[in-house]
Amino acid sequence: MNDSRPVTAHAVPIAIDGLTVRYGRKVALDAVSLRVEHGAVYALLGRNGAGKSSLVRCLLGQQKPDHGRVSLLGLDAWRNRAAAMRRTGVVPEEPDAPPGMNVKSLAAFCARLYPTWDHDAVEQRFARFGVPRDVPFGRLSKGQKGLVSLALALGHSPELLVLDDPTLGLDVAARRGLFEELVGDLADRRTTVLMTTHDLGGIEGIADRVGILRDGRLAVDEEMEALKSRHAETSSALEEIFLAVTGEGVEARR
Amino acid sequence: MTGMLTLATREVMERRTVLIAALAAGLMPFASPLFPGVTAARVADARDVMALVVAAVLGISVALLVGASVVGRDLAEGRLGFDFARPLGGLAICGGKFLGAIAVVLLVVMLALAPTSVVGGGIFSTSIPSSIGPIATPLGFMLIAILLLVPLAHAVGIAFRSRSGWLTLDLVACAVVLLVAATAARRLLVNQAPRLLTVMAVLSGLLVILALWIASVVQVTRGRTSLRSGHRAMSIALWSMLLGGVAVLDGYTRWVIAAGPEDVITASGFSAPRGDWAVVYGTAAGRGDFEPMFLVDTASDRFVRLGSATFWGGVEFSDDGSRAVRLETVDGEGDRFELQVVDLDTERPAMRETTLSFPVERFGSALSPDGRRFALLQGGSLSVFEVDSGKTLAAMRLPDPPAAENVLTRLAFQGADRLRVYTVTASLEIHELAVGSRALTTISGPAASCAWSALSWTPEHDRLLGWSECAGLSLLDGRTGTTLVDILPRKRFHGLLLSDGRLVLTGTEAATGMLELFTRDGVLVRTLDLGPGDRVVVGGEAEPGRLVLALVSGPEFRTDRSRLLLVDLDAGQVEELAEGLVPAASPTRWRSARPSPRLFYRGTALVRFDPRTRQEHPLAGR
Amino acid sequence: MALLLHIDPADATPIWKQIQDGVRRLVASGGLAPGAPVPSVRELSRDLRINPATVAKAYQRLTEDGLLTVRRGEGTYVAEEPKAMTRAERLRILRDGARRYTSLAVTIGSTSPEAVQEVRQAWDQLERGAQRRDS
Repeated sequence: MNDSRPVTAHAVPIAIDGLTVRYGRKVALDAVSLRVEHGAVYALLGRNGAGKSSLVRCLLGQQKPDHGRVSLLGLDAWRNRAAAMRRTGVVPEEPDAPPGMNVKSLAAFCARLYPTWDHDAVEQRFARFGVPRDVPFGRLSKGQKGLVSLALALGHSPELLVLDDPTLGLDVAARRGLFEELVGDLADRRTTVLMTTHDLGGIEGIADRVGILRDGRLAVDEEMEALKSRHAETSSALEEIFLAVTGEGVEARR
Repeated sequence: MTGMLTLATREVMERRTVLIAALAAGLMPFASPLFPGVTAARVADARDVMALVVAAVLGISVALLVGASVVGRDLAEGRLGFDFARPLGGLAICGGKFLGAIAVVLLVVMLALAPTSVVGGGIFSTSIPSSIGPIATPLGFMLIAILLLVPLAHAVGIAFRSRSGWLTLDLVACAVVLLVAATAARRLLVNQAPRLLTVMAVLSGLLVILALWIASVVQVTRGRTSLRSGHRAMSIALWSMLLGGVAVLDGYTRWVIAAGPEDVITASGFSAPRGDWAVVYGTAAGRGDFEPMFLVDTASDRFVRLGSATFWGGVEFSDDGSRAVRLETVDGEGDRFELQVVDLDTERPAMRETTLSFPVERFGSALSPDGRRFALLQGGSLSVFEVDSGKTLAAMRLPDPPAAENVLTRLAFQGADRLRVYTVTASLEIHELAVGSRALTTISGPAASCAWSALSWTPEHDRLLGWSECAGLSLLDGRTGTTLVDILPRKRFHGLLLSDGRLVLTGTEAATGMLELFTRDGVLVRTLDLGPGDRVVVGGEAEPGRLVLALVSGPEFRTDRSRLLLVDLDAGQVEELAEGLVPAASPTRWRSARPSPRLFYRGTALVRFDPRTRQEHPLAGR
Repeated sequence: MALLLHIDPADATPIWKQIQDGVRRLVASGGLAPGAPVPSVRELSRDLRINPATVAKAYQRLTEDGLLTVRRGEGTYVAEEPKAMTRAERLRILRDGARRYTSLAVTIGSTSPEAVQEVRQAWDQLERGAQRRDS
């Protein structure tokens, strides 16, 4: 692996300390702390309403925490969002590219924003995904939209990749294409990844650290291997572990 | 910077269809010949007008639509995260989107005007003459409209899309701002300061535009992808600026109308016939075209505010100097006057309302010497009222009420019980009313071949002096109404009736001041040379037979190039009193028994000067 | 090769160990001949949709154990002479597998003769398969 990017010494890709978010009286996140080290793939799990969306918004500098600090690549997410985004790729939960622009113009738009944009690599990705270049984004299928979002996120060779439920609503082929692309990128560049997902089976092999949010707190924050071996007696499938931790339906399944 | 421009370009490109539609709309004016009433000669003008109308309508609607959607729609549909996930700063995102929006509106207007201007229309050169200067062109207005409508539509859009409680705050704050602004505006309007109001309106408009833009930027940079936090930040920013601005506006207008006599710059005024009180008014420092008016006690620093200077006939003193009255339009009802009165002999004089009010029509009025009775001639009806109680003491119609508008009407009390009414239509009519018995006697005077424009009388009403274009000065016997003598004076000569009935003519000829003295019967007995000068301004009789007047040099009305003279009419001597003073003339109700002159102008200042002691002290103005 | 490795992410065994054991099994059974090329880390991780770091870890251990060799510029290959396993190593692996197999059998309520019978059948199948390949 050839990694000629300058390593920012001491800058952990993601460092969240005591993150608290409140909406009126409701506490969405309660002093959550987590770290994602270089090259790690972190899977953040949690039921709907557990605080995942708030965490991702604070992580990407789109929401100001009520307490605590969020730093991306050593930069404060809220105050230095633009600088952090220069080195971060984001795949959102809902595809949010302007629906009127076609793939070609989207790539051209992004190319002007990043000095590190790799035009050829992006073109190769589009070819691999089989995405038509001149169809407006709004008219692509959900799967194609997701793949295009990933291609745009990877286009500037980011050090950090944040994916928010990237496989939601994707068909099998798109899902597989997405994971293959992700894994290929991991193999080539040792990217740091944080992914929130409901697709527990899909990330079981990819994630090396798991966090489970429950009622605004991080109930689990552990290496995948360690987590599985701890639950080896009962069931080591991530899905089972998740159900056990979030306390839903365990008795019924037993 | 590149990020902002890239984003702006994207916003414009996304709205290509709107631009094409604008160009198509720009072709509509070419259908102007099809409109009814458009002749071949006026086709070009009709086309230009149509093009302007199309461009304006299109410009305004697109400004509103684009303003409401450029950020708001992306936010509501969850697509603003795309831009926030790029290396674009908050200001770049905001700037790029709004720059794009403005560019779209400008392009729409230009494209709508393009076809017509290519054919040689004069739209770009038309301008509307006004005091606002270069921005009063169609393009200037459109630019202002764009700068106002885009952020306004955006703010309103955000407020309604967010569906949060902040909308209530917005509505309440908006109502408060509008209310305070309207009150401040009304304060200036009621006090006759339209130019100041215009300046305030323009400044307020600029503040509103600035506040809307700042609030919009705050909404994007602080709210980011959240509609609710964006609305919150926007409302706080917007209303703190507007409430602050409107508070300053309100405070300023209050300060303006709270002017005191010491604030007056160019002072004018006149004094009561007796006593120390005077009316002072004029422009004030920092207050634009607001001219405050006061009743001032020249012997102390007491004063009564009278609002804004209306016209000279506004305030009238009683002869004994104890009271002043004025007729003011009733608040809110523009069609009635009400009589207000102030007692000047009290410790803290203040204007108070009486129960008397009259319709706004031409009228003649008089105040009794003690100020207790008020006479009014209006529409042929003569009435006498008791001021304090409002009781009608007499009311009757004149035998031949004057019909025409431009009829000279003068009323004068002789003592508290006798009222003299002078009207000049085809002839001079003199009526005398005994208030107690309500008996009216009429004496007819000489026929008038042309309209009279002035009339004055001695205190006993035994001599009258009238002025008309055709007959000149007419000296009449006040008892019988017969003309004693008609004098056609030299050009620019003015006549003055002395308290003993003698007539004085003053004026300048060949840059020399001249004075002519006539007997009670109109016989010239003396001519005096007053010295070099361009104008004579008469003050009045300091003592019987001793006249105060000024000989003024130069064309200016308020000047200190003047010599104040005391003329002893019997001895025929002219004495210089002071330099640089000009008598402050009384209001236009010419009558004799002019108050002994006490107020004088020195340049733009008003001073009190005693002709006997030669003592001068400043009253108002700088 | 990915398909032959039977990787189960849900299993408690770490994936790198599953890969390691799987490769070992293939080499032992003859599914991978000595000197044969194996997929690169990138290829295998893509095929399995497994974190490349995991694959890399497995390959590293296999290389240390002498089962795989890396030829600079050419790729990764099965070693020509795979190091012979010591008896102790062999027994340890068998014991480990046996323990897991029996606890699984107990869980599903199987009897000892039934479970042993299955082992015998699986062994026969493998031998028959290997014989078929050699012939």
